Amino acid sequence: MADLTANIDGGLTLSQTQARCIVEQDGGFQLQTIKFGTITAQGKVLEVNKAEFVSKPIGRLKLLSFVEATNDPKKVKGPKGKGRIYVDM
Amino acid sequence: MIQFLFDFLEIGASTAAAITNGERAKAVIAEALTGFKAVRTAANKDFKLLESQILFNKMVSNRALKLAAIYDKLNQDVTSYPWERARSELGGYFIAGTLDDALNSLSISTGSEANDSVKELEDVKKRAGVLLAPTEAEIAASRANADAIDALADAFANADATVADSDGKIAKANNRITVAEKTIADENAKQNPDASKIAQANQDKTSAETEKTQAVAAKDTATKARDTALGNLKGAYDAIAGDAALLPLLDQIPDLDPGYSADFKAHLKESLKRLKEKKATADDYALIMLQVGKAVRLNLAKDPTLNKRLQTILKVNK
Repeated sequence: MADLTANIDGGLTLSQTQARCIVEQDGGFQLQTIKFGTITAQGKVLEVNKAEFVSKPIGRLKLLSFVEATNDPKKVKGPKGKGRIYVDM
Repeated sequence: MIQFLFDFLEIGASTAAAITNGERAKAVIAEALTGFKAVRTAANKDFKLLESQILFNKMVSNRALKLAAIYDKLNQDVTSYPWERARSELGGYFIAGTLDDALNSLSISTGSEANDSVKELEDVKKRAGVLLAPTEAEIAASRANADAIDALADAFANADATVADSDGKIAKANNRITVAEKTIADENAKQNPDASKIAQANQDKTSAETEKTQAVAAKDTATKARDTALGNLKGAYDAIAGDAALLPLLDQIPDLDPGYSADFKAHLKESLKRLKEKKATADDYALIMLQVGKAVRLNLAKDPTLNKRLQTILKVNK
């Protein structure tokens, strides 16, 4: 269950989305998942990246590294552990 | 795009005709090539006609507006609508019917419409709570405040981990001491005690006691460090609560973000309650201070002095 759900503008670049998630994490949260979707507002369909965060004021991982999707996940994923976790997309 | 598609098809067809064996196949490709060329000519003609029609419509529309303005003034006397002005407006009426003016006014109106549409979409996004890219100032303020609060919280967490680790070492040493003492007691109870077992047990006991002494000392140091870190967290929070400008932000925290879950809002309210009752944990202090940092970031454009106040407090209490 997410403590904070943020609808991030789907038109942002990868680095802008990453910066937005880092800023949200600075409020004492850890990014859990981020998924593309749409919401409807005032008759307009808006593209958003729905990011879910859990509260973690102490001991959270503070930085994020977003990379372009690829067919070969091994190219994206570095070694697990040592302060690394993977976020569901 | 359409022109590129026609170029692609024509070049492809002419190349295929050149390299294909067989007269029948060549004839079919040549016919197809003629077809592509005919379609391109028709498309170009239609689009050019459409472009001309749009420009012509704009010229008519611009001239109609000018003429309407002139007609509105025809009943005015010569003082308020003199000949010089009428001549100038007639010139404007002529220019409104030119191609240059039509292109110029089309560019202005479509550009303005595009800007209005982009602004309207941004307003809809803001009203719907969609988060846009953070500004450089927001990123800098957010990072600086979070780093300072995290340093206080991490000092507590590290000391707390050392205390827990020392407790584990003390428990392990106590266990080894108990086992060694039992071995010694068991051997001494025998008619013929094994001297080597007793010596080994005594050695284990001494080693465990040394480790225990070291762990107790490490625990004492870590406990003091943990108390200091908690004191620093408390001091920073008290300074925030004592600041007349930052204090109102504390009450806003549970409703700071529409994306907070009901459970998290309740959690925030509990933390604030414990802080007021002086029963707060390090987690409470860190959580609420990071939320104050978020409130300051959200108010950055409206009141940048809040950020300066918070940064001063965090520098003093680091």
